[in-house]
Amino acid sequence: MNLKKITNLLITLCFVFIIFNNNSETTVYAKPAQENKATTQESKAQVKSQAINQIPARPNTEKLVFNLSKLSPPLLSEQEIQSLDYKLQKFAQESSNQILILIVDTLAGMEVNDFSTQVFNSWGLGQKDKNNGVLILIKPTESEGGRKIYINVGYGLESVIPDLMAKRIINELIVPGFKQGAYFQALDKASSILIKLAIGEYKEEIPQQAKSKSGLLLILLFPFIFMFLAENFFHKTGQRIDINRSGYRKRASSYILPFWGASYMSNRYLSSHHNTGSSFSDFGGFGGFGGGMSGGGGAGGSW
Amino acid sequence: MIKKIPSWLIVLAVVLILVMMFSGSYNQIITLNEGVDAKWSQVLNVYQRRADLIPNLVQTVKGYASHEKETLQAVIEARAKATQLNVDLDKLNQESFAKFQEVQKQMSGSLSRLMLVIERYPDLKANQNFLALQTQLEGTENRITNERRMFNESVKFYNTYIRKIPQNLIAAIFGFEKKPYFEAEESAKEAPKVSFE
Repeated sequence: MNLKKITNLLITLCFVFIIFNNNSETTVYAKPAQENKATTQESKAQVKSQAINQIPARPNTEKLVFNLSKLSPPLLSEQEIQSLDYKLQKFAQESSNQILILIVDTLAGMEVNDFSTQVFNSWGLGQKDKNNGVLILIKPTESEGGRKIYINVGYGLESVIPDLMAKRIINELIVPGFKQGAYFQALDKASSILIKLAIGEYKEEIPQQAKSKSGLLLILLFPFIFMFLAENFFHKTGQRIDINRSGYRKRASSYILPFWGASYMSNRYLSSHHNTGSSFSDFGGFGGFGGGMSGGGGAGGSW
Repeated sequence: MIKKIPSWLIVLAVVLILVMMFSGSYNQIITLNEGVDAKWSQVLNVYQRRADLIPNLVQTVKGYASHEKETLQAVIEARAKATQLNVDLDKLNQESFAKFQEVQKQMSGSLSRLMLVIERYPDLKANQNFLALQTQLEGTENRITNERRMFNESVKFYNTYIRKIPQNLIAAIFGFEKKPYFEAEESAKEAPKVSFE
């Protein structure tokens, strides 16, 4: 009998441990998901501590043209921004390719390509499974020659917009146009060309975004935990009678197996969730942006 | 008979529970390990991409600057060394990783010296073929920077995970070790030094 009490205690401890263990695991999983939803940058592309203040947060709108520069007069008027935005939105809806124009004042001390890649990945341009985004980053401040432009192409579009093509767009279209002050015209033409290039690759509809269900795991586990605790309680209070014993046995085997099954499945669920992408925390879906990545491809120039 | 079955069941349950407890952590380590692996192959990819550009670049430069033999030779040698060295992630320890980094650093160094030399040849700089190669090279360097950062990040996540309780036990049992990081490459940021000997 003593031995039995000890084994029961052990099992209880194991269950407690499992609860603890599962809890800690869900927090391990849930944490990146939360961060992902909040800012997206930490889990995706860069070391958190370095990037958190340097990369501008994605404005909470579905626009595709942002002027975060305080330069006055602004590079693009409100009307010009809307016109470009309309065109890019339409293209994004038709093809799921996202071309985004961003004007900033600072590169946070980074090279323009590095900065643009980090913005790209933290904002998640393009769809997650296609990485079909393009970021046109413009830094109009600083003296002549120090004003930078960079076209950053997502992994998925590298084949249709190779670096050389991006470079040509910059050298032959954007830089000459910008030098004359024809910012809108240059960007309008450049985005039209990028659209034509990109359309060769992806024309599908925007997919539904996956939702995280990690909370389900604990809910699934609770009945079994309670059943087990109840079982132990009965043992302690000594209500065990011979007639009941067979009943207990039956229950014991019938709950341990489902427990194993549920836990196994939830484990599988979690790990399969994590295997879907190369990144260790792909929980998909933030606003209008799909979580596409860039490997730093594209080209830059200055004017 | 009747008395024996419950204890047998309990033992089984305990074993199952222990297996479950550890398998979750173990699986997660495997997943993270795979993640680092994937990032590492990306790193190798972009370095290979750079190595692939070099023969073409050397050929183009030769046509215009044939008497820069030493600089060109240095690039060719550095490329040969870099392509010979294959580092599997399984064998990725501090030592082999340091060697890999060293070899690629030499490659970067010799390339930037070549680019400096090229400044003296305006005809070459106007050559379309060269300009195309230069753009591709720039793009590749950008990708290298990026993939290195991504690799470091996944390694950081992995290293942190396997050192926590109870994963550290599992890591010790199954021999999962800490993985090395890329160090910041000074030579990439600084202008190359030219020696006059």
